[in-house]
Amino acid sequence: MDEEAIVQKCKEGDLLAYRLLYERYEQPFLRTAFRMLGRQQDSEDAVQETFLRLHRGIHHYKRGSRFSTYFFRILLNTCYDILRKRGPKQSDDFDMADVSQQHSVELKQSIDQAIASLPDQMQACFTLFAIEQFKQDEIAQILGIKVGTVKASIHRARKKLRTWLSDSRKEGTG
Amino acid sequence: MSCDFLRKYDQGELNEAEFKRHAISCLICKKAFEIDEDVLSVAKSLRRHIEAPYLWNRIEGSLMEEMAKKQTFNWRLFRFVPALAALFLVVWLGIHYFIENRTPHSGLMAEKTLARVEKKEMEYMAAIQDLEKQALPKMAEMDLELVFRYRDRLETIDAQIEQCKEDLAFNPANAHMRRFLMIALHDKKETLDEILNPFNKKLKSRRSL
Repeated sequence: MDEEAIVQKCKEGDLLAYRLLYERYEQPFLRTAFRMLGRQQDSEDAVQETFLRLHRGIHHYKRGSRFSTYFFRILLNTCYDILRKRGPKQSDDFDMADVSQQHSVELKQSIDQAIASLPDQMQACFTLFAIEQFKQDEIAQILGIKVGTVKASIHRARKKLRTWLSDSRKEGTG
Repeated sequence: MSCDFLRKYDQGELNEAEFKRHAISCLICKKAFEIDEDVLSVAKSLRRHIEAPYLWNRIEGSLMEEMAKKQTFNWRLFRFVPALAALFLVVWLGIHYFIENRTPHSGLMAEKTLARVEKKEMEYMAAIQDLEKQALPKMAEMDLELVFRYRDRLETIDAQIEQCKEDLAFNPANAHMRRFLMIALHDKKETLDEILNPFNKKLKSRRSL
């Protein structure tokens, strides 16, 4: 079913349409929220609140703009609100057994830690770009910032992660 | 150990393709590029599956609650409709009653209307007086019996006019009395017209002496 048609059904209050959206966005939403909030419980709360906010404001969504960027923007705003209320990030353990076995567990843990240590906006840009595979202009729309800012954030994030990784490699060999 | 290309790349002044071309011949940049590739590759592999078996049930529950709230809200609004209609009716009746009582409609005129009517009456009476002045010499030439009849009739009309004027001096806004006065003046005017134009068939047919 076409996403615009699903959104139209959501506007009419069709719960099944919301279910279809949930099936499409559940994992990217949970991953992104988890990256930002660090706890699974909080990320589930954020996704639930995002669906509620979508329901309340879906009549403001206009055809033509990309729905995924609109929806992700709601999620990120919800995450920022939770962070503001809750205070500094608290982390659950990240179970590396769940992720791809292509790289060593240490390397993944190291990169994961490094991503988690990035400032909020930089982390959001990098997560959406490198993990969720959004294009830079889409990230700009989601976060409501300029494409130039997104590019700069991703560059700075890469530099930080590179420095982090080369330092940890030196420590490992030293 | 650093390279100007790497600095430019980190600051976003150099795009990835240009940096990649340069990295082939520069060891520093080559290493940096490899680390970047590793970081991106590992980051991509961090797309783990997160289990949240009860999340949809929670979302569905809260959405249903929200939808029910909306419906209840609408129903509450509808509950107020009869009350609002009754209030509107009361207000409308009040305004109507106020207007009805403020505006005289049973034979009494408003000040502005009265002034306008009085002005027109004065003009009408002045015109009739002129007509009377012209009619008097004509009456002197008439048959005596006819003169008596016309004089009789004019006296009756004048008495009627005087009576109306007296009543109006006491209550100038009395529209009924104004109408009687106008009828009397009109009668006088027609009588004078008959005296001045004795052969006008139209006038004669309208009133027989």
